Amino acid sequence: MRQAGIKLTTYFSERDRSGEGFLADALFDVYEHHKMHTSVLLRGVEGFGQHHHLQTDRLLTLSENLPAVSIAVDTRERVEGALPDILEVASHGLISLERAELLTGEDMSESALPDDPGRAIKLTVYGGRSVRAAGQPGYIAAVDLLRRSGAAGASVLLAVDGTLHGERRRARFMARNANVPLMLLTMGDARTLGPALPGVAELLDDAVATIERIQICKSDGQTLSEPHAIEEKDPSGLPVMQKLMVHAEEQAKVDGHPLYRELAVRLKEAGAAGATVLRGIRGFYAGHEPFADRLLELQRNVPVHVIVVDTPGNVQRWWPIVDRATRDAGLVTSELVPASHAFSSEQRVQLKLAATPTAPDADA
Amino acid sequence: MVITVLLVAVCGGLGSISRFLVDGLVQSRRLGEFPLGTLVVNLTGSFLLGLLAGLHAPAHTMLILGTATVGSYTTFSTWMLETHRPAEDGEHGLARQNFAISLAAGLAAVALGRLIGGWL
Repeated sequence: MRQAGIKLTTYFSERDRSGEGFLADALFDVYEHHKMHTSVLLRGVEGFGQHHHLQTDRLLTLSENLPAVSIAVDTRERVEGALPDILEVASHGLISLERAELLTGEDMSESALPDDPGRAIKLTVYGGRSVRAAGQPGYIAAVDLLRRSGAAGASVLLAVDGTLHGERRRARFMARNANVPLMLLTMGDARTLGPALPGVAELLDDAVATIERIQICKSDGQTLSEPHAIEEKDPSGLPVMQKLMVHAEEQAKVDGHPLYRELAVRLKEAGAAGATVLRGIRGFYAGHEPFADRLLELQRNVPVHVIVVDTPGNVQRWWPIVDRATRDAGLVTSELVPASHAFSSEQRVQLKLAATPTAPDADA
Repeated sequence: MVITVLLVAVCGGLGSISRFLVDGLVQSRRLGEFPLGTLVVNLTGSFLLGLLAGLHAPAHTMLILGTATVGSYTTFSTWMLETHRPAEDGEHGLARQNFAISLAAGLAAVALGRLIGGWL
């Protein structure tokens, strides 16, 4: 089915607690209880939040409380139904709601993508890891397929917990974890992503996809369009946030330092509210050869993603920092976040979706 | 024997708590690239062990203060991990610096400790 859905994202720290246990476990118990169609828990490698020092897996002492990101996708009714329980356990970090079109089963065809062929979209496919193609994991062929069809970029991230079709799939230590979902995200437009979608869906088991509207700002050092300056509030007064995501390879450097590290440090120095760095396992952008780890090689070259969510005014302030860090490499995208709440603030939790100019017609 | 094992457990615990606090204190004060917390811990530990050796501490004291306390205070594995991580990111300069500085300054700290211990 193709239907209007909601993507609920929470940014927090691995060791944040909720009642007797960890927040991450409590959140996914809620997702399991509400049979949330699709959800993934991703472990970050570096980042900071409003009350946190910069945590990084580069130093043992600073890797004790790394960032974590949970993403849950379902119909608007089901997400709103689960929201009271989610807010009951979540009391740290940032929670956001974004509009996403949800595709399952037969709908993952070429014609499922929006009619506007030139408009930039982000297609995210969630699925299990057990499919193999040509003796390799299916996601490798999926990334190659997207590259051949001309996508602007793609990346595969492994989850450690999650649900697929409402069923809990949690990773265990020292296990094969073939059922645990992975997340393949790819950026481009309907012309390039549409023809690849059915093939990609076949390369992951029980695949589910979402479509979101994005703006592609930079690719490989070239500015395509600076992030749109957006009104801080929608016509009815609801606040709108903006999300920047930088997708690059781990070996991308700025002034001799890793791009992701440099960006996180500069954003922290400038006073940004938070940033999260995620690491994938395989990816590409701008037509480059796919990057991934190679056996017996000291240097890693997996995809890294730096995510910043802030007010539109602040995003304009941070743009020169992002622009400078990505002067030679990386794919930069901007998205609207129509509802969010930072738990460190005192205000009452308000999660009503603001009207956004790029909202799909179905629930505008 | 039981008393000795208990003393090793208690003093080893105190050593690792000290590392946790010293390393955390140093790292929380800075945002730099260099793993200074681990270096501070390893250098102060090397100096202390050198001092104990220079003082020709009795075997039992050496076991409790040297093996148990300083042994759990300093950390070889963290030094190795924090050298390997920058190398993975392609920062070979930082990896080499961390390796060479810890090694050279660590040897110097032990030598200084022994020298001072010998005088006392």
